[in-house]
Amino acid sequence: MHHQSAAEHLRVIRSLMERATVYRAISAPAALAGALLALALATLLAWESEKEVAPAEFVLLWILVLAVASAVNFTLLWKDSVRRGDSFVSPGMRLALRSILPPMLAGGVLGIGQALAHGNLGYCAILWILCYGLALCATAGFAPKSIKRLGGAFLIAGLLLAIAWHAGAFSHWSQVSAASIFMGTTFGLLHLVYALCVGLRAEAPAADPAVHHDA
Amino acid sequence: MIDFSKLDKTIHEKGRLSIMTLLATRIEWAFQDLKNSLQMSDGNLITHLRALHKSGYVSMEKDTGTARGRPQTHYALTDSGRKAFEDYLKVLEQIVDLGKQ
Repeated sequence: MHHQSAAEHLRVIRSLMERATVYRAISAPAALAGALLALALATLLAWESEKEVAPAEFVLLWILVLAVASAVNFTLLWKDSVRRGDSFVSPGMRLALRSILPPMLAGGVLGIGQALAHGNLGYCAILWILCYGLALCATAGFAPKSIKRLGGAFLIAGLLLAIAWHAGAFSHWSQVSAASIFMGTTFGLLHLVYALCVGLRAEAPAADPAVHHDA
Repeated sequence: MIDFSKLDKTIHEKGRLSIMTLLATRIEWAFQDLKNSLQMSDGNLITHLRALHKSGYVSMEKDTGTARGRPQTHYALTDSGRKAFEDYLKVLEQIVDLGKQ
């Protein structure tokens, strides 16, 4: 066996293993849609911060953004699975949901609790940012690098905001303004950067021509 | 010196090599998932899986009680299959290293 042929076999093996184990839980167009929605809502709330925004109203609006962005994401993932002739609830998606859901649920409950029970919208936003970062980091075993970096960016942003929050750096800001700016700069800008990076690089691997099907 | 006898002829065929590679990534694979990932016809895939099963590299288990009511067969690497795959990779790496010298 020639060494070039052996190298080709190894390349096929590596490519198949990567395709079998890597799962992108967030598509770039869905991230872009989520980013634009988050930026729009954050700008609107920060702009209107002089007006009274009830904690329940703040929470409901952001849950609505999450619902719309998730619906767009699931629709795109479903279309992609149809295009590939794969099942929608693939082993990759099951693994991703098992990793993402616990931190998301914990962050959701803790954040909503802070907002509704204490009116602490800034800390609610920080908890959401941190737990979303943890959720993405939990997929590190099978996610592409861009998702791991996005998770890391959310985690670092959340930790820095938490430190600054406890140090009283935002004490002269209104709760709505602080929370809206936190949400806009993370869920808005970080998703926007992710969408642009992934969209520009077009990471989706093409079908491997080296895989032959002759018996 | 490379021991070419370790280059397993059963695994060396590209279709079967692809199947062994996917089986090495998870505990088990459903037939339909293998078929979709490899874009093989049913007949082709079954032929390769039977050859691997006959060699003792792949185990199969029929699941009759799926949610959609259709029976599914799940495939997994046996211990000897995993060892044969690892040995095959080592020989390939040796060949590539030799070519670099």
